[in-house]
Amino acid sequence: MKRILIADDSSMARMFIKRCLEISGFQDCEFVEAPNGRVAIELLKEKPVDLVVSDLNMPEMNGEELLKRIKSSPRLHEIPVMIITSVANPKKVEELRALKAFAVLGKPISPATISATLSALQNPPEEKP
Amino acid sequence: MTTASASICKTVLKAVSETFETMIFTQVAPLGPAGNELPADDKGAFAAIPEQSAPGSLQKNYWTAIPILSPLKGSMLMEIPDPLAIELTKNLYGWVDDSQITEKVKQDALTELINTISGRLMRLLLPEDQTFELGLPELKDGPRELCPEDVVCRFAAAEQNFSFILTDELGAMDTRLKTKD
Repeated sequence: MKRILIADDSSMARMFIKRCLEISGFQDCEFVEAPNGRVAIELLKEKPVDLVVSDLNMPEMNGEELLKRIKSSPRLHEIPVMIITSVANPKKVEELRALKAFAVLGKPISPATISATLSALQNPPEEKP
Repeated sequence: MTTASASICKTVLKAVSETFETMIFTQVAPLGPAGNELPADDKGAFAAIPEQSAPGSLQKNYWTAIPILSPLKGSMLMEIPDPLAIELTKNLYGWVDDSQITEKVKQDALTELINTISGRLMRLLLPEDQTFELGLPELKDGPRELCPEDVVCRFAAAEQNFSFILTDELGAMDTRLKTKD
């Protein structure tokens, strides 16, 4: 069973992201939730996950710091991190991709957007020889 | 109401509509100064002052706000009557009746909505290479006093009226920045 961590300070946003993921075919996953990056890191220490979906604008530790910590951790750096944020303009997307975010989506999200994004994760394009 | 603020309200309508339609499958219509829906050929006019609850009215209105920290300073506020707050929360959670709606759930839904709308709006108003910073959304006790520079946009959804307000530097923002249609 896949395990997905959703980090967002809004419980409504976490519910909405979870529902979009379920509609996108991730209904058999185990979802763990964190209200900020600090709690997300604690949860990741306990048990790794297959995917992190995080907001950017959170109290205590924001999503950018969470992304940096995951990507700099020898144990966690391979976990794909998808950022879902209200501040996702092209410049910000570029900055976050440089920090190795797998994808950056602007709110409001829809199941279709999530589904298209995650299908790229499940079926990465074949590298040319 | 100036042409510039009417133009900003058009962009606000786009941000609000996209958010409501994507997240809660609810359509939004602009309102004219008297609270009437505008005719189809004149969607660019908006009221300058929000319609306040009548004195002594028992209807509760929620005020949510989000500070815009950069590149402009100001706030975005949304005034939503309680019946609309309940309707939006129900739609967000996919609930059929009101029995599961607590005050906390309702407030959480409203703050997430203004967070999403304000981010979408800033993306529409600013150039693509311009990053911006939002503060954390919060619920306010009541209306702040409106300033002449504030832009107040009035809309209707689910047969209820609501207002979206841009203050300080945001209220003075005009279409020189960028307006996508």
